[in-house]
Amino acid sequence: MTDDYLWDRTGDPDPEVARLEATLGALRPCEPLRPPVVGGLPRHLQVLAPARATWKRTAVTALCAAAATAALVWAWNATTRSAVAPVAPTIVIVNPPSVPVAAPAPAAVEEDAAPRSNASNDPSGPEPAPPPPTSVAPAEPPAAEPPLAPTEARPVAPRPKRTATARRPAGPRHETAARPAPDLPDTPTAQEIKDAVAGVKAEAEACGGRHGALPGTKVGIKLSIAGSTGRVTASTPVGEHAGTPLGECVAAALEKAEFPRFGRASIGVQYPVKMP
Amino acid sequence: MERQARQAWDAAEEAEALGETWADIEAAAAGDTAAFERLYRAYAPMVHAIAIAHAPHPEGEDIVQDVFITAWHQLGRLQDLAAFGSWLAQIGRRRAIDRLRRRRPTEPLVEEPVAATSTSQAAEAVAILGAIRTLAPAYRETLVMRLVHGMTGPEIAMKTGMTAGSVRVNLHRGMTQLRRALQGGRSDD
Repeated sequence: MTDDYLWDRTGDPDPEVARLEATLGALRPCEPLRPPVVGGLPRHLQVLAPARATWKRTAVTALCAAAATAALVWAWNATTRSAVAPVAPTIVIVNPPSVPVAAPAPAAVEEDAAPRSNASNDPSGPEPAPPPPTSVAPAEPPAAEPPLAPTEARPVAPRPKRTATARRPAGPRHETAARPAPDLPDTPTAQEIKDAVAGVKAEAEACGGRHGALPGTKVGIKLSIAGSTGRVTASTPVGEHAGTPLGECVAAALEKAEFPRFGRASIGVQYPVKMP
Repeated sequence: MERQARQAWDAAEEAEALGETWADIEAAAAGDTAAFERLYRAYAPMVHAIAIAHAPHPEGEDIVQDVFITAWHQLGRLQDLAAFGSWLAQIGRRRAIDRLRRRRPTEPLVEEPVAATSTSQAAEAVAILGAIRTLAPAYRETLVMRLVHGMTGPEIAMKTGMTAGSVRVNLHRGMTQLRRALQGGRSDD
């Protein structure tokens, strides 16, 4: 018996795994986890201290018995549980039209920049890497400390400070986008964006083999696209591949993508490319 | 061929979902509470799994709330959007371990009964979770995500930022060790 069922619930169900799912499913919260109240409330008024509601938790626990029965039966019989519903293609536009499509400013590294909000009173110690706050604008701040993948014993080396490494295409593409025609759609559709990237995706994926990337490695690229021409005005690798040969290779490939013209002066798109 | 097609589709779906997540992260960092709520719903099960993999499960929901309040306040400092899941996981792990350490030494580690159809099922669930907690942290977290919250391997990889290969190894080895631990427990009865 393979471990396909344990991996993604395909193949023949492993009886022991299915039994463990049925039993341990009872440890899930009975109620859907509710997000904390955030956004404007002082910290001391935010949802805290559920310990005071112990009586409520006990009542909920008792009421959940019937729900748990149904959950156990469902989990036990689940052999063809539907996969995650396909996400509708929604390439996300991250730059509002007012954000100028300029080369990322070579922002100085400010180690002691003010945090986004008042420092947390959390007594349990510092959270990962307090670099300067960023805006949504295409400025490229320095990298934070690398995220720790729990099972991967990679050495956590400090990252070099990033300078402006956004790729700027030379020649006519470098010109500022002219005001687009008023009858064009505001932005390209997600499908149009996908189709445009599809035209250069093979070249981008070839970077993986060229630079020794493991299959499954994800390279995030931030694209700035001019509305009047549909051409990429900036292509920047982000995340752990920023400034790396692999990142630059993928960015160079995506830079050649040609999009349909649209109404906004420019948009920003983040597109992850997975190496085969 | 069918498996390859499915894998290609999964990869495309994952790319789409990542694109959405990154946009939500940026929007939430700019103060968009609706985007933050979407991130919460997407990542709360992962954080809850990490919480109960280390701390007593009744504290799991408290830890989840705490983690996301912290994330809300510090999201603007996150430079690498692709690291959001692993960043959240780190915070959750730290919170859970802090909770465990703050318990007074004489305070017994008593698990409250879970919502189950019978006391024996509740006891069995708690006992199995106890056995999972004896495993290495990487194995226990991945197993809890899979067996408690029903996350598939690809989902775990996407949410935590681990490679699919690492997740698969963790699940396989963790399950092997768990079987051994449970058999040892049964033979002791």
